[in-house]
Amino acid sequence: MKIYRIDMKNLTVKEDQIEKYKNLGGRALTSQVVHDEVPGHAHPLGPYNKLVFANGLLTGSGASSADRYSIGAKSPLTGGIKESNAGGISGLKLGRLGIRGLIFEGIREDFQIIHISKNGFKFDDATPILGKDLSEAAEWLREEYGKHVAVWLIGVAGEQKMNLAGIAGQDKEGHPTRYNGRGGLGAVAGSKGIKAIVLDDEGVDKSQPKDKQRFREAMKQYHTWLMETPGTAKVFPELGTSALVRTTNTLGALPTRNFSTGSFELYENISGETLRETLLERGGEGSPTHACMPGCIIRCSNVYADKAGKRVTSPLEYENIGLLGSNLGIGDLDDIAEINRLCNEFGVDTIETGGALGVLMSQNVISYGDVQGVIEALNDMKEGKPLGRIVGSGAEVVGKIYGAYRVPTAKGQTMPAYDPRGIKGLGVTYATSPMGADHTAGQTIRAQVDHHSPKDQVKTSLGAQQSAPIFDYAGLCFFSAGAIQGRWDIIADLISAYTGQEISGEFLKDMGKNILNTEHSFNKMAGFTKADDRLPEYFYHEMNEASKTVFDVPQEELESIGVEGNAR
Amino acid sequence: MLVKITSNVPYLKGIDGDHKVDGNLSVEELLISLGVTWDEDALVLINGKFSHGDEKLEDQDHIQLLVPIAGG
Repeated sequence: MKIYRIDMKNLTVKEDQIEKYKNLGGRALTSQVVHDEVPGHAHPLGPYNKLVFANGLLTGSGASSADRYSIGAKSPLTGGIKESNAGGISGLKLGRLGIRGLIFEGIREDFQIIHISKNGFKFDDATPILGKDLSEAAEWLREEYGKHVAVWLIGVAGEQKMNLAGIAGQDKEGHPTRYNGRGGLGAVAGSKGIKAIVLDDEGVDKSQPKDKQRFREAMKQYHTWLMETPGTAKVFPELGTSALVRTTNTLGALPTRNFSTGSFELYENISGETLRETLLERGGEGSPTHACMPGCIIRCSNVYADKAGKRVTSPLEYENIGLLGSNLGIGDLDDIAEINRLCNEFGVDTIETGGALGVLMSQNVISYGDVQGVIEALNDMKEGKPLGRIVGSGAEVVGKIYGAYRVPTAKGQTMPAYDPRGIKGLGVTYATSPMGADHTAGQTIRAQVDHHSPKDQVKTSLGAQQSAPIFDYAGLCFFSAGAIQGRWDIIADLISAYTGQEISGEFLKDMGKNILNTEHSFNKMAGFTKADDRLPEYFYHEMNEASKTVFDVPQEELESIGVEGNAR
Repeated sequence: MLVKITSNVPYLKGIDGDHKVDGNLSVEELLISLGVTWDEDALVLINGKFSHGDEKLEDQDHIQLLVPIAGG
């Protein structure tokens, strides 16, 4: 597997020869490159930042739920290191082309389409798809380059270099709706003039494991775990991630009206159970279960259809429902689906968008529950009008402009759909992760611990933060965590058999810790201190009336695993 | 004594409702007797608080079973 460097200023490409990157994948590769090659003080949208795409080691192997890839850079949203991870088929196609990673360097003013095939790299003018909705742009790309290609692309938000711009990948049906949403990486792509990357695997054979027999045996065990574990075998395929609405509402952790409380009076209208019943009743193009990656056993995704059974958007995830629904006082799935559709079309992170709009609503610029007001603000974003620019800057900037006290961010990034007073382990993750507020950096909700108590939360969060990078290194979906249960030896076997690089379960555990340390180390170079390892002040003294708790995990405990406690 | 179970977990809907419980059972023991695998099938609350499993059941106790997944 090769790694290529693409100089976007001069539109040249060369194969990378750095030995230490050769056995890295996913988040291990993105974070190592950013750590080693991007100066801590670099401007995120300037020539010294780099944008790294990296497949996990198992991406394209045929193992279930293992076609994920990472994108990393210095984030314009947090000012720190960022890795954002997604599924779909774009990573799989990159792997088929024999490529592990792409390192984009330099900046430019115009926009390019980078076409990659077995014949090499080609740069085309992106003018025909600038300003278009993503579904239209993706369709144009597939018409131009062939129906068999997969794409990565940015939307109008990325073209305008907005802080909440994401990078979209493609699902197996060709829709550009799998998002590396977090951290404003779409703006970094925009600064480099990357409008789209077309992955053309025509004439390329499927990749094969180095040791087929060993790979088959390890995969059989791993797939058995997935099929025997209730969460992965039953809950995800039936209800998807939105199954969590009832759970978080019960725990007082469902973000409601700008994270002012943790339960929503209309939660049943937006629950996973209602979502499933609605889609089954409507039929047509909608489906309560959908695999974003071919052969995925978990199938947590869905396709939301309108009353006529016509596809509206995909997927409608728990985070989208929490941030674009209850957090905005919106309790109707059709409304949330329409807002989600617009976010996908404009190329923005649904979490950051929900956070920014929530802060705006807290200042009465738009009323809670005002769906039309939300849609107008999003359209303003597409057109680059002042209110749209403000929302497009993310929740933290909205808060500063409107003088808001309650801004639910950590390191400048909006919290995902878990109030940190209701699930305190996630509060620890938000405060101490090098990624800022990010549930995928250290999810603790699954643990059978008292989520309302400050006790043991730092330990629980640290364990989750150290294991999350293992999934991102391997290309595994972290929803498989409940099935793997820390039994890393079989996963190491799977990787060894596929890549020919002999590793152990212990190696994987060390890898998780090393990646986390590397990321903290970059943030230290970028100027982060223990003062950044905090939640917004109001969470410490304003009670969440649903959970009857404040965030009270001792600060010195947080700091012990934050940037100063962890960085090398 | 009677113990109420409310399940949000689709495949554990069958144990929803009131259960007549004899003896000195803990939360974990009752759930295991009903076919629930502890710390795998569900997140468990007892009377609105997180259960450690070893709480001894009392009349009119309420057990809630929540979906055991990590969202995304």
